[in-house]
Amino acid sequence: MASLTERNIVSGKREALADLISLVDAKDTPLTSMAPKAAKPGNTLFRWQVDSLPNAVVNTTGVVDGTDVNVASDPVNFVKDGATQYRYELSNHIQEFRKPIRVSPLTIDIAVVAGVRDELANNISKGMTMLKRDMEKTFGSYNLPKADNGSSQGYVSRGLDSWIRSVKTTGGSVGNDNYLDVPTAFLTPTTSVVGNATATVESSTASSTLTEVTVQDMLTSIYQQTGQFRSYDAIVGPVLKRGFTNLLYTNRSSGGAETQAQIRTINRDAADSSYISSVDIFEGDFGQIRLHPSLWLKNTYCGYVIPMELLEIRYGGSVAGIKELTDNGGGPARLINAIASLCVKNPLAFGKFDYAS
Amino acid sequence: MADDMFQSLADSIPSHLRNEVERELINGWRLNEVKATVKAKELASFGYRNAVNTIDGLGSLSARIPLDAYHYWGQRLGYECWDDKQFLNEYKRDNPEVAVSNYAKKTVVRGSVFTADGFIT
Repeated sequence: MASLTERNIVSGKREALADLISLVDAKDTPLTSMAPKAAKPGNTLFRWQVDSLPNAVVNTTGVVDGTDVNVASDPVNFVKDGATQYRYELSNHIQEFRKPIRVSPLTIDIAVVAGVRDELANNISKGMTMLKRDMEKTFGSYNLPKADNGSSQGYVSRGLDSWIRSVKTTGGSVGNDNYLDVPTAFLTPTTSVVGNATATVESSTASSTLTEVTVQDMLTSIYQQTGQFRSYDAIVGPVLKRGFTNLLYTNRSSGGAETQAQIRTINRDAADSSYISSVDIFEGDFGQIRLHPSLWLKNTYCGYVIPMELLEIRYGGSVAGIKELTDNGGGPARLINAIASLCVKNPLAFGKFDYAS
Repeated sequence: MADDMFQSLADSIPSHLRNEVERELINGWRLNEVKATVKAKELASFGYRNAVNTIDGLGSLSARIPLDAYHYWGQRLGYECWDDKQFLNEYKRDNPEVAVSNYAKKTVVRGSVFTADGFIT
């Protein structure tokens, strides 16, 4: 029976442009391409819950047989127990991205450019790529959420770097993180963030300090939060990716009193390119980890360890599209726009290599 | 994947521009396909000449997938496909260039461990 149900409506689905945005320029924009796409945010400000449990304790007293529960003092409240709160709300703003394009009449009618059959189509294609790259750069940034003030400031979504912080910023280059801030209990643990950022100063740690121990400590910290062996995607800057490659293809001696410390036995030619743009898949004790190179992070040295199912990009479907603008003689114009926001479901399960050089 | 992609295009792009934008994207993917093949051969060559170590904690490098190929299958099947061991094994079987098999050998002589280069670790 050919019933017309929602899933049968293919044409005109609101997610159409979101799908296309995900497809375009995928290899260069891994964050926006791989993050699960979620339903549109319910409002310009949207919220979700994060929850936790109290620490487990060793029960040394047991339960005396035949005793009743003391209903006044025994029950535990897992939402807010006295001064301890277990459930919080996180929130973020949506952000609009725009890329208007226009092609002049002379470009369309007169100019003949090799390899380009239609300048308008070519520009739409490039406009979508640029829109995607803007989104990638913005979502990977240390942007703090901002509300529209009606004059100089539009809605801004909190970026990934700001979601994965162990210390709330109170000033400095990032600004004061006092609006829609992450509750202290759900800040990413210090042990999951490699770097020395403080509340007012960004990290200055060098990526050359990356060692196996650094990686182990971070993954152990993430495991302590999640208690699960799972797959992680690590989106890393090219220099950090090269740091991993160096760990792979060289050995360092532990260095004793009778030996030179940090002897490197290099089993490849020094002239070889040590950076190859590929997704490197590791199989280890903590599950699978995939390293993705990205050029759109806050710098080329940093990296983020992401359990991808805890990340979402929420698209405002009803206003995403390619709109035809009026042509008043200057040539046909189009507006490519998308409204989206980054949702980090729980910052505790993430990790960050906060390198600055 | 192509059907989904064109449907998205049909929904999003003014009708008189669809063919041109489709052509742009198709050519792009074909180009990427060729580039991915070249990249896979480079990776195979690099892997043949260089032995790879295990990073304690992170694990063993099991495959190096060209970016185009990774995202092609991610977009087509969903990125969860790369979590699937069977898919990954079949992918490595069908594209042996991307599989990493040249691991650094260690030799133990009376309790001392030597690397492939002859150095004591």
